[in-house]
Amino acid sequence: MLRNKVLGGLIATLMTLSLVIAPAVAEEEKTVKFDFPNIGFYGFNEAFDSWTVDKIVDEMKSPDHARIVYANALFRYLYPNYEPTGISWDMWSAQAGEKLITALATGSAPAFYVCERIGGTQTAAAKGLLADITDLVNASEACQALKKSYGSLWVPQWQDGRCYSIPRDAMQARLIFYRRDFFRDAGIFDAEGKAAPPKEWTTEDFVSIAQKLTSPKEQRWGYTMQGSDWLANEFKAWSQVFGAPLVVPDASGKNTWKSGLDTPVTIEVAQFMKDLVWKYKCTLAGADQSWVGNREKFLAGQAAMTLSISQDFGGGEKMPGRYTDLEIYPAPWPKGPTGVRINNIEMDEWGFNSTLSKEELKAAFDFYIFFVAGLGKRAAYVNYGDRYFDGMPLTTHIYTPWPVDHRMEIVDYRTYAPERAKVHDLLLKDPVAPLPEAYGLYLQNKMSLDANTMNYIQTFFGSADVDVEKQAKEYAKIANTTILDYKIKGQTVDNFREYYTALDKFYKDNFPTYYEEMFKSLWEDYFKAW
Amino acid sequence: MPKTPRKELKATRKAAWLICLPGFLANLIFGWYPLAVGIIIAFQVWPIIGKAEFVGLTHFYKLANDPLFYKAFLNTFYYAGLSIALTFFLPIIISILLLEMKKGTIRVMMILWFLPMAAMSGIIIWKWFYNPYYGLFNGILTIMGLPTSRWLSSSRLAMFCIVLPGLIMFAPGLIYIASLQSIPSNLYESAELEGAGMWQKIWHITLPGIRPIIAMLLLLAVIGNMQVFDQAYVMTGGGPGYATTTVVIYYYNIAFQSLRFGKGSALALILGSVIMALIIIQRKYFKENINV
Repeated sequence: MLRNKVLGGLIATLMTLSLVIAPAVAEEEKTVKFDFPNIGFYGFNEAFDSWTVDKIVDEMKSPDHARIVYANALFRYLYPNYEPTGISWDMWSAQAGEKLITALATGSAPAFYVCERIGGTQTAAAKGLLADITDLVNASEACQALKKSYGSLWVPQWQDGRCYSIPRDAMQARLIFYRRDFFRDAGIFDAEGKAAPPKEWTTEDFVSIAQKLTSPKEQRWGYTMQGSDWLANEFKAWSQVFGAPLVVPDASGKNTWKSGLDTPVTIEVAQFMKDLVWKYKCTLAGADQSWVGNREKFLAGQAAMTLSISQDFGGGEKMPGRYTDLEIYPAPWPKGPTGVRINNIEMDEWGFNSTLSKEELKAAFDFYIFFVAGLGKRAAYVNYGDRYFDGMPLTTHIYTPWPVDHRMEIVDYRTYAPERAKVHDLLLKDPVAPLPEAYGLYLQNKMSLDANTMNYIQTFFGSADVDVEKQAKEYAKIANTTILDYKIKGQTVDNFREYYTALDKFYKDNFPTYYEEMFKSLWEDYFKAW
Repeated sequence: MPKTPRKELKATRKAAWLICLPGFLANLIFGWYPLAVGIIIAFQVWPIIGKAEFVGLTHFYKLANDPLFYKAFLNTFYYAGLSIALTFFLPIIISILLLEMKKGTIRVMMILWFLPMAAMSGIIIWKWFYNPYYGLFNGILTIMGLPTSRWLSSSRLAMFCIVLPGLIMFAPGLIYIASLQSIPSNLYESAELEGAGMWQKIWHITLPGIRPIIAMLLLLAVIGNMQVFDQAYVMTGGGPGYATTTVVIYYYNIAFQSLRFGKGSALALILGSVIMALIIIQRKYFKENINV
């Protein structure tokens, strides 16, 4: 009897205690840890908690570091249960992709990464390498604001109605960069009397200018062409202005796409690139000319013009630390023979590790948005590269509420880079073509496709005798057999009908000459797969 | 108590196993295990994250219909053949002729031969030599009044350009020289007494004397050249026009560009089988010891 009473009392006590303790334990938030790549998320290079007061004071002496310290403190204040750790991560080298793949397989990849080196969002999502962030994106004010402002940039981040990556505010348009001093010396001036190409120049103008700028005596060419890792991007840039399709529907229905390399207009693009080297003799080109090598040749004065992306080459405008002693300026890509020039602005696609737990994913997403589009960005100017690109169009900062008490001095790039601003404004006026991703048609195996294009165009560098049409057919066959041998899940002819109907309207409304001369025949021979 | 012969043998074997164990384990973990996994993956669609799916011979079928599969093998055989012809047999001849010279001359010639190897900063510098606009080779051709070449940008020349560095940097010449010096000199003296000329001595004494070394290095050369990757990847990336895309480069591209690890493993399995077949043929028809 006594024993029963004691036992009963003990049980009652334990139950009471658990009712009291459990809520207290549950209320204490779990610390969520995750690793992030130390690129553009400055300030977390070491554990902030380990900084001494002296170190903080020392860091605050530099305006840039002061902002970073402030942003760090703000983040920790707002998210005390998050524990991010910065890790050194190779995001951009040629081996970056295999490193990331290996890390993903072994579970040591960072919480988020650029999708480019693993085939882009579409390929990576299809392979299960990216977390579904739809709900997080839909709940994020910053993301919603960005979607409203430039919706088409978000299209490639979605697949089958789900979101897998976020475009980061590093506006990348393909531009021609040129040496103003070389233009001046060659007597090439635009309508405003500036040593520059005409604003609305065409491929014909481009060739003529490049020839004028070529000087064998001075060992200088008018243009230097990408030769290896960025050659496919150069080909895409020229293809866009020629209105050449890189893929077309597979009318047999076996796969989704077929290579567009062997369409007449795409062959014309390849012929144009070959002629730049052999017929017009105004272009420096070689299969060993990488992105880096190409830039080096341009900076060394061996060419007067080159392709790059919009935030490259500070040059003539006052962009500190970016080649201010060379008169380098950007120019929009020339229009094609039928007057086509499409808005080719792209952004980096950042996706999240699909092996993260729900809590880790939320934490990583909050961290990312804080520094890329949220309060941290405004506090620390954490933009692509440095604060001198803040203020560029389409950066997410303009969509973030800017509380007065967090205001920091902004250096508007329009005041120190007015010419670059003008080029961007011009590009923004270019029409945006309908994107196939918006119609459930996405492209996988982009890296392999680019490699195939690279090999194709490289054959022209070795000899003037190469038959472009024959090569086009051969490389189209390779692409069809080894790269485009897949069918998108759920894809039907309706997807093609909707997409190409939209494309038909786009070209008819914006580029009537191209529409009459090229698009209609492409429609009949290649696009109408239903 | 002294150990019996049986106990001593047992102890020796135990010691031998213990000494060999780390190497054996390393071979097992880094050699056999990846091989076994690779073979399994060759029959699967293997995602980086998630569950693998067995697909049988699908990858092999796709490879059989893949034009790049045949091109890659053709390129690999071409590279291996060119490499062995230029960088394998040539050092044998050079080593033999070198030892016909005076001792002092031999030393100078060896320094001239091997110093570039030590000083070369690898394959990268050759890429600059081949630059069509300001590379060393085109510079020499220009000075001589000859037409320049596109070198690595030319589909016809690219593979030769990749093989060429091996000619200067090939180290087995040292092994041949060491091996040649181990042939007893009395054999040559006897041959001379019999009235044998230089070439007869080389054919009947020198070459049989270094036959085991040749066989071993040929085996390694076949295995190494069939798996060539570094030179082609660094200098051309497999281009131009897939002219230097070897089987291993193609495997690398399938795996890390298309993320198709199953297909890549199938290709690697086929390559491994081809190399095994070549080794079996070589071992059967090229006996190391002609007296066996």
